[in-house]
Amino acid sequence: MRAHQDIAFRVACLACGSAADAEEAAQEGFVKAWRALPRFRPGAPFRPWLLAIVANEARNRRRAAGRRAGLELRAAEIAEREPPGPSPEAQVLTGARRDALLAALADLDERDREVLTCRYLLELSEEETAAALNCRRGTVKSRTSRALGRLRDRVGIEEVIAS
Amino acid sequence: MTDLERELLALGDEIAWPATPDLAGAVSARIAAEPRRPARRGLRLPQLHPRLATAVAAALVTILALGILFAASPGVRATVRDWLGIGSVRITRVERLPDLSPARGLGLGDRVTLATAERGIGTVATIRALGRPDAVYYDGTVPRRATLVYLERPGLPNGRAGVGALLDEIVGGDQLIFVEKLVAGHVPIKQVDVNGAHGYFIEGDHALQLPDELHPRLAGNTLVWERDAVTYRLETALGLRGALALARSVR
Repeated sequence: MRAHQDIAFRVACLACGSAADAEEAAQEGFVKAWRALPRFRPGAPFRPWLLAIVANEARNRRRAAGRRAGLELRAAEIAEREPPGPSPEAQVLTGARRDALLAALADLDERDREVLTCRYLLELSEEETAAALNCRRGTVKSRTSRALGRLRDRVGIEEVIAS
Repeated sequence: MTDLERELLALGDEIAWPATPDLAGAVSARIAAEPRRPARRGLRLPQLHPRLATAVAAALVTILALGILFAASPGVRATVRDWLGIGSVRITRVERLPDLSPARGLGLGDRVTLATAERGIGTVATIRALGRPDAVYYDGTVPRRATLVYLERPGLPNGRAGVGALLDEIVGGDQLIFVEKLVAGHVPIKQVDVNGAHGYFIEGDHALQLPDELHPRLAGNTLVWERDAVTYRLETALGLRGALALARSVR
């Protein structure tokens, strides 16, 4: 359970837009998954299934709360950040570029922002993203492609304005 | 991978996510505090049409009576002999049925409109031979399930579920056995063809176990088949021929 709690909580945050509701949703999702474990097919991927349950709980809470805005993404302060990881990507972003990307993401339609957040910021697979967003894998592919295009347009516009 | 995708991956390392609470601890405590699994939310009688509510209430009384009957029989425990799988349904042959405790509900999920159910699972097929369903339920947990309820009518008597016909449509069940059916040795299970799709017909009473339910409930004649990654479970009092006629009109 501990191995999955970070990703489950973050997916719940994304789906319901509130850390407090996300905590409840993730808890409820874990409990439901635990109850259903005896019927889980051996060999089937566990994480997409778990994330689907958690995300569904989170969406229900968001609907019940009548919340329209999703989670607002913000960058960690320098002191909060993890030390640079082993991947070269970890050191690619400058502060200005990071802020531009965050602003462009925030400006996207929520469905675009969700799919990009799942695929890149949370590094979910297509299958996990489909489970978290309650859509088909093919929809994740097409939505990701379109969302990247729109993000590219916006980042480009931001850069032109900035210059 | 494009530069933009690499940048997004790098951005992931810099997002200030809310601190993850100790979910494992909280969930462990909840599980430990649950000596018995709580019942899944039951059929919401106040939301039902009066005629439907009466029918379901009558069914629950029947199930209660049968549950007491089974519970009173010493040593009535399930001993698995064999099992068959079709879609999200596992049909398990047992020597005897397990104890069937008093039913708390039919575990149908929330009552919704057909359009809402379609938003949940995609296209919802209906039993064309019966027209529009009298009630539609949706359960958004995984696998997702829409349930269509048809009331008793001429040629469609009430079944064990307390209604004329109950059609479950289950999607996303590749990871989970959603429905477990325990069938005693004397009850026939027949292989059937539903418009080219392979299926099984359970002819007689058996135990139906749904997710989150602590105990199985009694179910009657049931036809199960799978088509286009959707598992269908049709429960009626009809025999094989009648059930097949309904199933073949599902689209």
